[in-house]
Amino acid sequence: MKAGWLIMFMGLLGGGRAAAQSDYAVAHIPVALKSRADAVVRREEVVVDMLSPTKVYHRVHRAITVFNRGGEERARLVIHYDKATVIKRIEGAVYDGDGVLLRKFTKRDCRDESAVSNFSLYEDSRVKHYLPAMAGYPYTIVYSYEVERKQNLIIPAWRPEAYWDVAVQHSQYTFTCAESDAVRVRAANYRGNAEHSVAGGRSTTTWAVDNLPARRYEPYSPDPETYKTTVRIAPVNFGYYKHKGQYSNWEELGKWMFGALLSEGMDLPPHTVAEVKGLVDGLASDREKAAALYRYLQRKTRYVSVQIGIGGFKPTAAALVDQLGYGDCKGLANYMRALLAVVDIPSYYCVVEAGNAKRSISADFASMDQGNHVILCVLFEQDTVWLECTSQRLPFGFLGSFTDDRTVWACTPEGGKLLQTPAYAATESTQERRAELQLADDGTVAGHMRTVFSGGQYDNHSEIAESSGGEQMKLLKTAYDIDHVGFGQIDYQKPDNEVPTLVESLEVTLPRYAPTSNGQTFLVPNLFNRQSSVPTVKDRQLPVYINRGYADEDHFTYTLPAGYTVVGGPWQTTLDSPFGRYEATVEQVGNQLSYRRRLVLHGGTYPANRYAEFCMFINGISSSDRHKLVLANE
Amino acid sequence: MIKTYLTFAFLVVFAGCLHSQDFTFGSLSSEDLRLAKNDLDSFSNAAVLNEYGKAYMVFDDTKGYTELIVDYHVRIKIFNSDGYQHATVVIPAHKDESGERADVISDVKAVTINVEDSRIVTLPLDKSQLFKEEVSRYLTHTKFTFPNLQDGSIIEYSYRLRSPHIFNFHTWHLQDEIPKINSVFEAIIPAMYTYNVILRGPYKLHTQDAKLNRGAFRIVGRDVDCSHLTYGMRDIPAFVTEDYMTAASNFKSAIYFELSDIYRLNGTNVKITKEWKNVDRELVTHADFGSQMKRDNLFKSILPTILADTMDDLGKAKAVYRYVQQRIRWNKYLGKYSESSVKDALERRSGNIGDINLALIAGLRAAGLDGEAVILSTRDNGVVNDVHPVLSDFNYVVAKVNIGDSHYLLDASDPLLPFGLLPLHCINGKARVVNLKEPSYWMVVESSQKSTTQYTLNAKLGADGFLRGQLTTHSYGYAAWNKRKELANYNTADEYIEHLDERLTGFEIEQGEIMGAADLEQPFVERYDIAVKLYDSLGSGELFFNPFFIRRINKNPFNLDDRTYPVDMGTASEQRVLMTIELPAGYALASKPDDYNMALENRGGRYLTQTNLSDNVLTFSQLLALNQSTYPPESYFALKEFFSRIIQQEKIDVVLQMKGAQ
Repeated sequence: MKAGWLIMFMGLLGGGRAAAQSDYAVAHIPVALKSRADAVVRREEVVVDMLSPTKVYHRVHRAITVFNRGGEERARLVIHYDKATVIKRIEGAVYDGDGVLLRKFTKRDCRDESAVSNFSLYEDSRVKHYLPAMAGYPYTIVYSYEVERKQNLIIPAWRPEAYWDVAVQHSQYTFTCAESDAVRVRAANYRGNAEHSVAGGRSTTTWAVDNLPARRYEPYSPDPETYKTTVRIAPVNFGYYKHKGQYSNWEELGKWMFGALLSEGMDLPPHTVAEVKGLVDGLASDREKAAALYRYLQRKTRYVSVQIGIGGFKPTAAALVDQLGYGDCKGLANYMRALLAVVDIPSYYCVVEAGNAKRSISADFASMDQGNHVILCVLFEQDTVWLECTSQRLPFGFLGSFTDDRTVWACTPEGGKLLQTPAYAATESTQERRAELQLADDGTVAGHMRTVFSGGQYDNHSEIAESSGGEQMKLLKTAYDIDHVGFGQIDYQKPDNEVPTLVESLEVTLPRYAPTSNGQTFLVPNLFNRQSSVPTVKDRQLPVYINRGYADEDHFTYTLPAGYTVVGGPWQTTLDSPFGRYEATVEQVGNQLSYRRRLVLHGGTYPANRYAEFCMFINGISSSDRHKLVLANE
Repeated sequence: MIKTYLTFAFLVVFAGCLHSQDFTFGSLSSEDLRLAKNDLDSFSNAAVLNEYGKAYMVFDDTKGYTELIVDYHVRIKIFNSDGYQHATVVIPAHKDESGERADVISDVKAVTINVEDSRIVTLPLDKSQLFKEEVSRYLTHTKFTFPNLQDGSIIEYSYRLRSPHIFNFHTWHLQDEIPKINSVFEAIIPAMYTYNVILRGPYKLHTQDAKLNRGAFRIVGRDVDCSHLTYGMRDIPAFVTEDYMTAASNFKSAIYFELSDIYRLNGTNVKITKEWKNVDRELVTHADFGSQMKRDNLFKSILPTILADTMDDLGKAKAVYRYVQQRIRWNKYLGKYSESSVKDALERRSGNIGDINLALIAGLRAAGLDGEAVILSTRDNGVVNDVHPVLSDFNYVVAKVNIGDSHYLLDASDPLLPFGLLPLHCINGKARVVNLKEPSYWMVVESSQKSTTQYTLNAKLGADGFLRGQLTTHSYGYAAWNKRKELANYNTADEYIEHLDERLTGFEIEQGEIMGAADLEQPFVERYDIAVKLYDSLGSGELFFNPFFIRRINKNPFNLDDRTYPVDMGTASEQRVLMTIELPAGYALASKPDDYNMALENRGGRYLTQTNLSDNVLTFSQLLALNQSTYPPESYFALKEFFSRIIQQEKIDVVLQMKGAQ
């Protein structure tokens, strides 16, 4: 122990220990990789060795240096496993900043826990993890492990830049299989050439990256998939649990999926079949029938995630969902498909990468690891309708920002097909708000407010609309975030429009909102629609990406107490930019004060050098949204 | 916290007896069907219609020890889909370290009851939908959710828990996140076990009854009498949480049990709830506690290096504290006991709270100082029993060093804490001080420093509408600790400042420096040259300026109509803002926020603002002080109003007018 202390001391003094420094000494890290990095991947070697479709070895060796508290979690060793994944070996060690070995660890030191995600009731996946408790920074963790996978339908992909605050000194990925194995490879954003060799009937390919600095987080940037290096592997012949198959494209994979996992489990009990037939009785069009059945699904079921067996790809049988009244996205989509089948309306089970950021299935590279959600595409003679089957509140045919405007993979009896989900243009995604308000002498603002949410913005308040009581009040207070805001006469309507529309009307009260001091009253007329600002970072690297365009319009009329006048008279701001247009005006006529605001934001991608301009636009909106009026009262 | 000790006189003596007070499974009353949302309160989306539990003991001949059996049964009404979350049930089962003595959940029975076309339809839980999740080595969850939920569904379930853990018998939680109409608990306790029973929370029991069950417990061929206790409460409101609260379990209504004595069949009496003097002896000789405190020999060789030529006791204490703080890294496990050992922790440079702070005490003792151990319960672990020694209540240990007439509380688990400051999670009322020689004693742990921040802005408003100047922030106590933790997330101060600059969109930091980051006992000082664009141009009219742009409060943290538990911030706090702004020549003060001086009663807090203009220099000062760490429920409304007025005040601008522009 004493020796260890002395060594540390000498290190501090910088005595002639340079020769004794191991490879892991922090001194060996290039300066450029330390900038903005909370941690550095010193060396990463991932080897995937496919011996047969049901025997794939996955070996990982990784050395990570942690610089500060922010990078600590990056040192955690995490291995997910399930019934088809066996952890063969884990070993590792921790080194100090000089590269001196501090201690070793093995599988025994890892914690083993269930890995049920927070949205699931149950999953049969588990995780082993380890994080050393270290007395200071920097330090380096080095570990290697081997995992045997009993399937090759999903081969672990290589994503060397997993975190934006981690620099990568060296990372390489090697895939080995029999020379005769047909394998499809997709290397995205990989500069350089993969090294390929054949020896003893085994074919080996290695990809490598060196010296990638940490990135700074940049707001309004595109999907990382579009610029980060990824290598994905998809073997043509695969084994998966008790299934075998082959595919080289979405069509073939869809054909297998449909035949193996979707062709059964469509039967419904006779009483449900009778009920379904009764529901559509007298309805003329398929569209009306489908809408009636969608309402039936929404009434009868709720989303509960249970992931067991077959890697979570096979939907629960429709009859079980019928009995339980719940299911996950697969089970519910399949149940809806079964309900539609009763009345002879065909529909497609579609796999989608869901999330607010739009991400499409890669059209030219089929693989089973894409997509995380299932929706249903209903086929009518002339057109199609998309259904989100996990929601109790979305209107018929509306997808919302979770799955809109992207390519999805439909599994049909004829094979897989790629389809595009609908998008709402900025001009169709509207929020129009009108309010007639009274300003009282004590500064209280109260009155009636009506907001119409349409198209892409339909979903803004639909959760509030469907809730009630205290929960609804809580959600409203979050949506209209002003201190002590109160609501009454809350009402929601869903008119039967071509574009889905939600109308919210309520009485709003803001006690003592506009304070008075020395005969002047201060009023920010824009109550609720205030743009937040964006950081004005210099040296922007990534393009500017606006995920979704929209159009907002606010018109507030304030009836002022007698004798109140706006100091400085009418006020107006207009901001015009390639990203959109903003206009705000204030006018007073008699005791009526009128505030209007209109913002149209265009979705799209703009070059990085337009970021400053973008900031000016957004921050200009932000500051004029907070414009405070001074009212002089006699 | 409100605690009532429940004691009983046996009024009725029954022979044998007994019919259970459980309600019949699946048999609804008309009240159950009628109950609607808002009948109980305006916000709950589900309610417990009836709840019943019965706990009794059995002696297991094969295992050779007594086990507790709890039969639990509840009926819940789900008013709407927001209440569906209450239809997912998670029943935890614990295992001890050895993995031998484990809780077992069995006989799970669950049904959904719906009214369809005025018929009552009952749907049982499908056994395939009952899941057991092995969360970790020590914990298994039995999980299920109810089928076929609709608005107005009634769900009902029951299960049996068999547990070898009898020390706390079975805690009966009367109050929950949803209201309860009725809750009844029967505890049947063999005469050989004596428990202290405590009712926590503000509400009164509706039923409280005691009977004698003759020979109801059979152990090695003998029948032992049991006390049969019944507790009932009706119309229990939902428990609503809000910010600045310690563990909810401190305030929720519940019945707690704690084993005090066991009378063995051979007539001997084992005292479980001991006197502190017995506990002291146990702790002082405990291999993972007292023995670790005594390991001062581990410091003998390194001590001269640690102390260097420090002579005074305070200097020595600080040096030892620094050493342990730097030497051993906290592995994120709590505990009053040493997990590995002080020796191991010093060598491996990592350990739990026990390892670290017992090492600190050993080090202090090695330096010839009076070091004591303070065992406590962290804020989220609830408060400790201060009547009987209940060691399991304590989950943390810190060091107390006595120097002259002063003492300092030390926690070496965080390398950024200054000497004498405990982390906020340790500030939780009473703690017990354990000494190797003297009897132990209670102390109330309070934060030794406030959380203080002082902002000083010296700036000049230019003709171009820009405000430029220097903003200096001094942070002390907990505020400094928080800043240091934030700084520790960056490699350099420059990266920290750069990030701050990116985050503050109104401001631009042109240059900055940080001082006192390394010396934990100094204030943490940030000095930034800033520029803020206030106006497009100064023009000739009026200038409106809102001085409340530093640490502005936009939201009142207190919004409940009624709060039954105290506001507990852990520490007193103080924020000061002082601005001096040089204006272009020729401006006069047209109006300004009224100078404000508002106080909370009993010197609980103060809010002050002051604005002046003289010789073209605008000065503004603001003070917000909350002098107490805890405010009782009676002060809640005053506190709410205090914040409400601050928010009003902060909306008001200073109005400047060009002289002669009238």
